[in-house]
Amino acid sequence: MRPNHSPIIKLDRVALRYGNGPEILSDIDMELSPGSFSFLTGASGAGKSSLLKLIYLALAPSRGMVSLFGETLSKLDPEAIQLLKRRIGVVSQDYELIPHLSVFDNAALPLRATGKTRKAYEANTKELLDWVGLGDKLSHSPRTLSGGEQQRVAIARAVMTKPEILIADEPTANVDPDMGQRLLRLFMELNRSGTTIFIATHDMHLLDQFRANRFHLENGSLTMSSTK
Amino acid sequence: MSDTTPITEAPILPDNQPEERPLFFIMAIMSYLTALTLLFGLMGFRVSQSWQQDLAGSMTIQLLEAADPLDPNPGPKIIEHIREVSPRHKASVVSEKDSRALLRPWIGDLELPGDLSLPVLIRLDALPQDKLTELQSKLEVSGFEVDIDDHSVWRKNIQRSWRGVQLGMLAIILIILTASISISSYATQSVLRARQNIIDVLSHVGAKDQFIAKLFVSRFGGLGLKAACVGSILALISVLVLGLFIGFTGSDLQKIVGPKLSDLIILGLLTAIMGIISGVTAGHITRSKLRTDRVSL
Ligand SMILES: Nc1ncnc2c1ncn2[C@@H]1O[C@H](COP(=O)(O)OP(=O)(O)O)[C@@H](O)[C@H]1O
Ligand SMILES: [Mg+2]
Repeated sequence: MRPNHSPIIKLDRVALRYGNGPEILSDIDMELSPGSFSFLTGASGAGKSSLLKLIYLALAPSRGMVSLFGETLSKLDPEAIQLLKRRIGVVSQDYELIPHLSVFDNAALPLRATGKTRKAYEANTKELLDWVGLGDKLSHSPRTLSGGEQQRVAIARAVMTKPEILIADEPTANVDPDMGQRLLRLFMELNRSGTTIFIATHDMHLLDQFRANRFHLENGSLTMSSTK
Repeated sequence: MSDTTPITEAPILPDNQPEERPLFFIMAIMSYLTALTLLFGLMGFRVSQSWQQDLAGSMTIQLLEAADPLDPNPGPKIIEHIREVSPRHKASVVSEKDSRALLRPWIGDLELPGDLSLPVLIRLDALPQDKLTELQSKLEVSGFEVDIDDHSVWRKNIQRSWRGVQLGMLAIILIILTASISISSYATQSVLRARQNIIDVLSHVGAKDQFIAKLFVSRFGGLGLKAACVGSILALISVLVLGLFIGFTGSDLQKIVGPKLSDLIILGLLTAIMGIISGVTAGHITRSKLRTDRVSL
């Protein structure tokens, strides 16, 4: 393997505080190379979700610089930001599904939002939803799904576009171990095709199974622990 | 194990939401008022048009002093003189009832005292200048003192008051349209608040502002269009029903001023304008909201 030159995600002395509160994250330096697979660990409340939000452009840092794909975000216009978002798949902790849309329509939303017609995405969407075990619930409303099922819809939506970066916030928190395995295989497959994966998790079982970078958040600081 | 229900693509914005109803009703009312104003305006235009044509093609002779003051009915004698100048010329004595009606534009709807004696008026088709001079000298010779009016003063007056009415109606329509803009922007804002989750998800998956704005433009444009259709149709029905009530339907007057096919085209235009107002306002409000909500990175 050729060594990777420029990082696909780069945080440079990034700090974050909410309003006038204390700094949740301070002086975070982090680099992920393209095609890497990394986990983010840390106690509940350590700031994992906040760190991910900085990367998937839902939050702006109080200090420091975030760069994606070699582009410094503070220098981009809104249009360019939206185009960047299309290259990132996100599974957040609150699944943010649209309640009046079916499972199918929710999963297909990123493709629809970029102007694709149903014909172009129908087969892929069905296949993917089948893979995450929702093939029999395509026309259901998210309201009728369990937490774990909703999470799987969000995962399908995130990987739908074969994004260059996939960010997932505790994606296996609400599913049984079997489904957890299945989802991880999905992420690995995506990773094999080149997607950079960054997953926040508590799931030790998950961590122990894969060769992956590990970052650990504690007291607002990030440490790179080990590569198993 | 596959869901066999056929997949239909649902609209990204939910249909028939309660937050959208006030906008529909208010836009319908606004369109109703605008359409009514327009319809009455168009009818008024035709009344004044046909009235002016009538006046331009005719003259009125007012008898100031008869040749024989004891003659109770000097009108026919004057008509004889007219026929001498121009045989078979259309001319008639205006009945007392019509005389009173003619006075109404000048003195309003006041009841005139019944015993007020009205001047003798003769209505005739316009005469060319040479025949007119001939008639004038003939009447003078016979001892009639008359005032011949070619209606130019009336026509000017009608024109002037019609212009005033026109301006007034234009002002009303402008006020209603302006109000419609602020109402749709207010309504759009409240619907946007209710759709915040959808906007967030769309923005999250990389939808451009233009895509999101377009959803609201077509939703509100369609809503405005539907509301305006309802308002315009109700206005048309109101005018027709009103016509029935005041006995206007079926009268000669209706043929001249009653709703015409061309009115429908203008109402259609109005409907389109209302749709455009709601659509454009929605687009503008959505885009400016997306700009303000943006996390500056
Ligand atoms: N929107 C917010 N406003 C204020 N404080 C927040 C907000 N989101 C998170 N926090 C705080 O930031 C800290 C880190 O939260 P979070 O990033 O969710 O941690 P984790 O995902 O590791 O559990 C917590 O103390 C939490 O209360
Ligand atoms: Mg969290």
